[in-house]
Amino acid sequence: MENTIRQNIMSRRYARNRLMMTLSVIAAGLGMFFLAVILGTLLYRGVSALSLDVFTMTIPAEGSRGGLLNAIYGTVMVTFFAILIAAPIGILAGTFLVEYANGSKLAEVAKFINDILLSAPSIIIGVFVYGAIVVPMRGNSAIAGIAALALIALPVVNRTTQDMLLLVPNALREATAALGAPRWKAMTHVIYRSAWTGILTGILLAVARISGETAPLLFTAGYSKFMNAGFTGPIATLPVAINTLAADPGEDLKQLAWAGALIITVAILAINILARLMGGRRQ
Amino acid sequence: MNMTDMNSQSVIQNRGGSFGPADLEMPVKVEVKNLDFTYQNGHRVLKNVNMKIRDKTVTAFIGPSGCGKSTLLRTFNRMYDLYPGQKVEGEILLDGKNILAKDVDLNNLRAKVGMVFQKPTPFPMSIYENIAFGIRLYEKISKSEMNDRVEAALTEAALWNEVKDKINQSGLGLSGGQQQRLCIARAIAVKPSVLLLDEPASALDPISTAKIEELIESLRSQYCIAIVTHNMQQAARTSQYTAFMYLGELVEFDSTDKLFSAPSQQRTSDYITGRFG
Repeated sequence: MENTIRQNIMSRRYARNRLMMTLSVIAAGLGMFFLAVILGTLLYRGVSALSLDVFTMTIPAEGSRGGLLNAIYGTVMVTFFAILIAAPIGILAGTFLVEYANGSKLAEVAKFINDILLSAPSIIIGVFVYGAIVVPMRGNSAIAGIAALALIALPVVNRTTQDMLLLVPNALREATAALGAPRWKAMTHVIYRSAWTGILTGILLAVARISGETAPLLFTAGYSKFMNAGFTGPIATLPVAINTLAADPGEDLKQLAWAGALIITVAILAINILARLMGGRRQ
Repeated sequence: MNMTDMNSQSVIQNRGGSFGPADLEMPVKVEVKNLDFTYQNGHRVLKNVNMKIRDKTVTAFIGPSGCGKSTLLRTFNRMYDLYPGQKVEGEILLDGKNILAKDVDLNNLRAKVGMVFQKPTPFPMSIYENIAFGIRLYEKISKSEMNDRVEAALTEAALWNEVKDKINQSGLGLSGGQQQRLCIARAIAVKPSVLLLDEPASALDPISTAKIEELIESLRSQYCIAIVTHNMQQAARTSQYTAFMYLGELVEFDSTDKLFSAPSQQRTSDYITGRFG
């Protein structure tokens, strides 16, 4: 009697387990399927569009030879300077919030606002920079693009720094203080040393994030078919170039857009993998 | 383990009499006067503590969790200063000077009063740099002098023979017991006169614990050592004086021998015979 009740309960549990398992596998499979379709299409269309020209020539007019050199250069340049601005400010801000102002009202408010900024739609940042820099300068410029991307990267670096510093055990701070080391020395010699791989991983993820941004660049950095090494003129970037070329009726230019999409995806994938490897080594 | 076992194991110089006979008494190094300590939330963890800690002896602090023994230890190097809102009243005299005064230079104080924590806390750098870091805070010395100082500190902490061939490897690669001895070496390298040990062996295995206890015995002749421990046998083995604390009060403070064999307070006797705690 009792045994059959137990068997009933158990068989119902097995059935429920099988059902949930099946649903989970389907859900996971669906996600993987679409990722595979996207990457597959990108590889199929992108690889056939790749050529040496893509890396050596600038964006052409329809019908003539050309490549994406100026857009690749633009993305590298704008991302580089944006991180150069955002990383030190973000690290210092994160350090202040965790090490010096932790628990204070100011810090709580600043952390909250930073988290809002972190999830702000990037187009809003673009509009803000448009008003703040593009309008007064009367035109798109690399500077405006750099500013927009820096504003997007800043909260990412800030937050990662906070998280990584919070992971440093308090015992290490006490041990450094117990030796009589001044606060700044504790930071530079001990605390950063145990948190730096994590912080660097955060910076790499910020690079991956901003190098693929399109919306904030559309009306800040703008678009140009020509090689422009300066800061004040409009400059093409890969995402904006893809956006522009894909909408062009010309078939050659559409091909170029596929090549650009493949390049930026592979680059971001590589940065993400690098960040993963670094993060993994830390643990 | 019963009381007779415990006493026969402990190596104690002070025989009889509260505070031991005069000829064995070392000069007072640290004097605590009317010490009160309050946390941010208003919880009073130390209540009017008065005691004299003698130089070149080991003083153990025992008592149940939350009795305030660690908090008391952390007032000796003003560790509580790291946490705003913690309030201390009273006086702690180190060599006759009140270290709780506002104008005391904390870094200088902490150079004189070294501390080792419950969990080993090696810095994320090489074994050599772990020791050199502290020395460089106070002294500018040549490379060869530094090498000598690092070796001396590691030798004093009974670690040199185990690490001399990997002095430039990370301190994080050592075993727990070795890490703790590295932390002791790091503390004594800056030449303090007082050494605070906050449950230094409670995270270690028995063999490492025995090594730490041997080390404490060998360091006693040069430092004023205060050790917080959960382990009464450890207090009996390592210390000449023992303070029993309960609920923020210093219940009894006497020679270790006397406190464990003939405590004058009922609460002490209840605790050391295992009736509570």
